[in-house]
Amino acid sequence: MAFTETNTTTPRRRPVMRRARAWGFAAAGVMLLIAGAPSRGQQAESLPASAPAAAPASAPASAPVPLEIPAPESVKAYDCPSDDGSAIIVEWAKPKIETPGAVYVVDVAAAKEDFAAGAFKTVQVKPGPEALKSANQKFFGVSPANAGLYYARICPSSLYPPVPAGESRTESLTRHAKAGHLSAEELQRALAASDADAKWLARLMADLTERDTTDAKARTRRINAATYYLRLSVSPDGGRARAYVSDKDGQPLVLSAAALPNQFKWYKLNIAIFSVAFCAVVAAFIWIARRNPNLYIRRIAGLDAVDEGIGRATEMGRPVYFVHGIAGVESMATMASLTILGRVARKAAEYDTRVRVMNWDPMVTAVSQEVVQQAYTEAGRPDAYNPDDVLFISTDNFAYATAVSGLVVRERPAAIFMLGTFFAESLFLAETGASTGAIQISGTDSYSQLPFLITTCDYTLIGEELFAASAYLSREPKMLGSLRGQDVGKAFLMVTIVVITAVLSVAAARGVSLDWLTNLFKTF
Amino acid sequence: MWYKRTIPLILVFAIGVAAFVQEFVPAPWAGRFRENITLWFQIIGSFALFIGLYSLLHMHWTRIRRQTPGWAYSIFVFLAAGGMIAVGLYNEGKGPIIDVAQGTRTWLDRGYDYLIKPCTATIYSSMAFFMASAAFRTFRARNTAAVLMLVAALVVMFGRVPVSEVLGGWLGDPEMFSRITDVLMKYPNLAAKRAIMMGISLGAIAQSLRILLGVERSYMGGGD
Amino acid sequence: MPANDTQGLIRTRRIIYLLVAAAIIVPYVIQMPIPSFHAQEEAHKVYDRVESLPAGSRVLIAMEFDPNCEAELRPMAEGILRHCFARKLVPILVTTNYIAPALISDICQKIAKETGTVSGKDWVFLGYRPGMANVVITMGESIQRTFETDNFSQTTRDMPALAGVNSLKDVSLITVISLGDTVNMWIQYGSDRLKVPLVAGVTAVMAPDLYPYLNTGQVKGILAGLRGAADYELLLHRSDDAAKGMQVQSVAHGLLIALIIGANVRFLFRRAQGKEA
Repeated sequence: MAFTETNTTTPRRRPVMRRARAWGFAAAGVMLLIAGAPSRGQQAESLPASAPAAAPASAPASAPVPLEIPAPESVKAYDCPSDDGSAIIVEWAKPKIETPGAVYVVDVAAAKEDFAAGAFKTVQVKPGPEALKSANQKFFGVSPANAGLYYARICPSSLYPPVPAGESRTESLTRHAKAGHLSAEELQRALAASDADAKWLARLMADLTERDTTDAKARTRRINAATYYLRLSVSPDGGRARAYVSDKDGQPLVLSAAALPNQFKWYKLNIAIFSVAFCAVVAAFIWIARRNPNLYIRRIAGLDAVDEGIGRATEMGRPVYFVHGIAGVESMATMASLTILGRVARKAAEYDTRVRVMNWDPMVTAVSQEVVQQAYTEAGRPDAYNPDDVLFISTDNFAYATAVSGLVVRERPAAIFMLGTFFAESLFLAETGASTGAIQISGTDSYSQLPFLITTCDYTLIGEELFAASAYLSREPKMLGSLRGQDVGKAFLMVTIVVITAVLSVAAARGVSLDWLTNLFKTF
Repeated sequence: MWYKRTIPLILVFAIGVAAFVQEFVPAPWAGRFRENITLWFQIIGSFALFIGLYSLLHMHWTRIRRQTPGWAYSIFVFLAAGGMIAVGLYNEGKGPIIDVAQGTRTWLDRGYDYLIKPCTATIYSSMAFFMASAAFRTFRARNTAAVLMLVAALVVMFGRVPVSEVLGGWLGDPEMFSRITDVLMKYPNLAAKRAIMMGISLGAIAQSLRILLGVERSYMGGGD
Repeated sequence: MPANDTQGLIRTRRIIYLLVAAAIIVPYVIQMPIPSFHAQEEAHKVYDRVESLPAGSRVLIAMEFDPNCEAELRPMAEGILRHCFARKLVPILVTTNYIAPALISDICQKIAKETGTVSGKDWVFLGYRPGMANVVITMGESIQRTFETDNFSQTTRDMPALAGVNSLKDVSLITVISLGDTVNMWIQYGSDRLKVPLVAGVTAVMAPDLYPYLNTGQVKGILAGLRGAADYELLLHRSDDAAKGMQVQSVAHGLLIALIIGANVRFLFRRAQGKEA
């Protein structure tokens, strides 16, 4: 301890932490892996400080303020877990009694000698619940021990920025000239730029900023990956007077660590487990369905009506309209609608009925053309395929809705399929279709548009029914197996929600805290 | 067909699995992978834009050429697109890319103010008519569930307008309907939404898996 | 559908359209009085959030709407801007909607003229950048690098309105005024990642989508539709476009309620007679 004798923290912190972790493992199962996730960072090491008094900040070793200093053995520095390598964590045990107004200060230096030279940066931590590790469950998990540990998140690239913060134009130009990015003539011209040079200067600055942006990431990584030296002190008022946490020789305790990229986000472990488990269940049912193809799947009226719609169009000699939603090809709803389009187009080709596809997105247009052409080929009627029937309309919602409505009113299709993601234009499209008397089958994953589609269309595929469509329509065992897997996942969720809600309600009524159970389902 | 089926399926599987894995990896390579995929997507997307533009203009040109009913409307597609491009390039005589002085009303601004704004606002406001017509046709007290929905809808509609506070005042609490509306929105509405969202999420995961495993191939065209 | 039924439907639809048109136009023309009302809880939350910021704080306002929803969302945007200027906050406006810049520029210039504020000093409109979520992510790294110039081609590097603001992390509040689901994007890639509080103003139709976020605290308050905007005007002790819109909305909702009740009375009467199932 540098200047006070009032170190009251007991040295029993580590056994307490071990016990807490052990309890956590037993209780919290999966989340415990997060809580107990070992840091991949460099192990903290204690180094003797050579000349602590030489650092200006640590100079007044005789300040008469009785400060509570964290126990030296509780102070650790390590790489921040589950991050991209941008931070080092310094943690220390919360003293039993804290001096009001006191602030923790972490000194950060690129080399040990920098402390003596006073060339170090400082990071202040105000004591309080927000500064405890328990306030940051994302990185530190849910171990009860975290409630007794303060931490400081040190981002080396913020302390030693790759591009100096608040740099003026002149400073920036000079820096780039020194780095050889500018010739001496260019620098002179830029520094003495008149109004006539304004555009040239703007372009030059844009180029230099671009260069900074490109270089900054690599430089940031290099800055973060370097080893830094850290020491912890307590300041009575956030000023220069400090009491350092010291080693057994009475010198300020110096630790070292580097910020390294991690390879797993431990705070997403629960999501990873559920995702993999759910995928395994679906894959298992696909496999089972190969052996036992007679799976029962409930009826979906909207999908049963697909053939009815195409049949009606054939009888009436009118076209079938397929209206894609307002989303790109990367949207799952668009993918689902493309699979239904393949089915509809093949059926329409078999019945010799014209199918026109309306597109909001150019890339969906290209894929739709491919899907329809393939469907016509498979139906044995490649000659009947007309690429002009797969139209790109507009990427503006209402221009799209207006154009489609105009076509609907003029051509009066017998059946309209509206499938995909829709927004405000859904009612406009569906109501126009309803006014022409067309049979309308819609399906969307847009929750807010469901009421409009349900009230205006003959059949509506609600959410998951849209995704089940391709499996349902194909009747292929493998596809139906995936639907069964999906239902099992849903049943699991339903049971889990009911059971856990009941358990938590009973626990709350009895005053028992089951935070570990809630944490199992927490996302960060 | 290996180049039309096998290679795309391998690509879909590899990229799909990598996209899933990167979601759980904080290291910078995962971020770079995501950025590169996004960039590729944008590059491919911009090529597709030409296909879209060709499709649009070709369809309207065919309509004009064949003089199909309503062909005259197709002329407006060329006029509107050409007109906006022309005034954008003209840019008050300064040519493309160069900025005009701040506060200058360009012809492009006028096109925006006097064409795009009124047109889009008109289409959106016509929704009021459609909504009234659809509600009139479909809201019927056919059974108990429909009655519940009908009552909830009426209360929410009423609770959203200031007049509800007059009736609420007569009944003792001016904000009564507003509060009931809030309860309906926050609890039954939210419960239903969450149930649907969970179904959608599971459906989307199952669909993704079918695509990744190559079980679902109809998005590539034709059969399964 | 039999021909006479179709004709009846068309006739009914026309009558409804006429009634709706009358319900919207007449209250505007005759300037009907509106009863006094209280601001709803969610609007209070938005107002309090802005009110609690110290003078000089930066407020990012994402204006994710275009002329489609101008009637519903513009009063919200104007209300929040007026509130920011009254509290001496510095709004930083931005959009990822390519049709929006001209409209937002119009709103900014109107309110700036009214409040005597200056672009670049008291507020900044960064303009539009393509890329949706990528724009939010890169703003989280550096606003100046994402937007080297603002919407009026002024360089953002030394702009007083952005002094001390390097990235999205440095703003005190994110406000999203949106017609679609862009609020989700700002939550996922902006407020959640960077731990900046977020409030939203959305169309009435989209408001239910945000309630889950409200429960989890990811959205601190919602202005829902024209009523939300009117509530905000009420809290600012003003009576602008949204408050006036309440007359129209009251009559239109009244008409809709009357139509639904009328249709159901007819339905029940016909069912009693055995004409409806």
